[in-house]
Amino acid sequence: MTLAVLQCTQCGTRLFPARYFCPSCGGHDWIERVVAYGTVSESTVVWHRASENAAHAVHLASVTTNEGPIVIARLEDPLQDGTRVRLDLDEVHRIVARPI
Amino acid sequence: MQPNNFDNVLIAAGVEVPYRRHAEPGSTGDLLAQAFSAALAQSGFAAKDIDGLGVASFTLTPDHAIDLAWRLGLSPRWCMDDCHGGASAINLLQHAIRAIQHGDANVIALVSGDRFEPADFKHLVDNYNLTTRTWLRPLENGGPNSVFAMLTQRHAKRHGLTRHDYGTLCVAQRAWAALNPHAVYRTPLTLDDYLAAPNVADPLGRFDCVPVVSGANAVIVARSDLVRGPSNVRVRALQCMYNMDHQAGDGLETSLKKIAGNLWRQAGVTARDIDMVSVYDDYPVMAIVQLADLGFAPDGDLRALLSRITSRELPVNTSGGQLSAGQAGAAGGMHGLVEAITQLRDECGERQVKNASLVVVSGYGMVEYRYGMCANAVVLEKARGGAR
Repeated sequence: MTLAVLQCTQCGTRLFPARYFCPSCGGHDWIERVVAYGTVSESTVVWHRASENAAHAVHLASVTTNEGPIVIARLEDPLQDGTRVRLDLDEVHRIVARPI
Repeated sequence: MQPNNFDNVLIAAGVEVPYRRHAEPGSTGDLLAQAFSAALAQSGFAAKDIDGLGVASFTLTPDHAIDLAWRLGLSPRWCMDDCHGGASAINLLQHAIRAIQHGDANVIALVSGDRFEPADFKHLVDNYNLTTRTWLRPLENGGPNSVFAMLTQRHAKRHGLTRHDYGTLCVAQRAWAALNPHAVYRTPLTLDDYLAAPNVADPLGRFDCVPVVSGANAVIVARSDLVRGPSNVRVRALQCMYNMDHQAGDGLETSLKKIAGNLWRQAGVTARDIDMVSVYDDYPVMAIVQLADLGFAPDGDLRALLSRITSRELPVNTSGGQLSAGQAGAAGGMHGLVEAITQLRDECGERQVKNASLVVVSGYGMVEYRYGMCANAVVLEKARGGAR
């Protein structure tokens, strides 16, 4: 599935995740804008998680979408900052970033 | 409009139920009740004097403040639950002061705390809010470490800092913890130990992440003519601001940056006048950010700030902070407040800051998606005189 951010129809502010009211203008009508691509801003490897003793390493990134908002995404492999990625929403509702 | 002052109200107690790495048998309610008892004992008030109760806890569920009031035998005229995480104590204090000034209550107990089994903590971080449950939990992010790891990278890049710099704060706080018999971690920590610790989420290592503990804190706020003890604390300023940038920024500034001007104006002092600081230290980067936002690095030189902390020219988080004393869930927001009150009461033993009479405490917390939504701060001073 594609990933979309929300754009306020009144002032154009783009946000993710969705809100009820626009923090900029108070508008409450939104249109979805599908994210075409993103750029990795930073990434990390999570080695330890709460109450897991032998956790598997999970690669995560902050990805700046071409629409503006920044999302947190799962990476399949480590990626350098600045890598351009495609963003999809997978079957378990993970935002997954894959290099283009 | 009422004048925005803090007259006629005093903080009459601030206590901590010793934090434990492994929860002792019992419930969250048990810990909150212990904190309540200890606060009564310190303040000299009896349970029947308490006509207001505020509670912050993640694990008290299914109970709420009113259930705890019932278990404590209280008939409050003012009662509130608070869910602002690391900003909860100052948020509760803000409301309690106004309730007392306006006659809705005379003596208010504010309690906070959590008791965690490992499964409780996992449940909390997976279900912290709807955004976390919907967008972060499926990633197996494992709690806030990953987002603060990335925030630390942004901060290091912007300010030219290295792991070494963040480590100096952890080492300085551990040195304070060695003087605090109640800190969970007191063993001296060297910079080499810090750098050699296992990675948690790059670049964060074990000592960058607060140890989760079980424990509780409590504070008593009272109409000033009613206080019983000789050693009380006055509020000079209190400011809160939440959702400053709606999670659309980089998280490298908190709303303290916006409210600092009003805070110092309201207090009639500046950061230079402050004897001791408690900042919310869920991660060293956030402690540094809050100190800078409050004006403790006026020239922007964070390394100079860190060296003033190490030398204790600026006493910061003298309990060892949460990084060494532990984070007892929602009590984390009250831990630094209680430490500051204890300093003003001259009851800090070996870690007592000499002549501490003016302190500032900040709260920070509630990560919605990429960083905390809430920040607040209070300036406190030793009350002259005492019970009449």
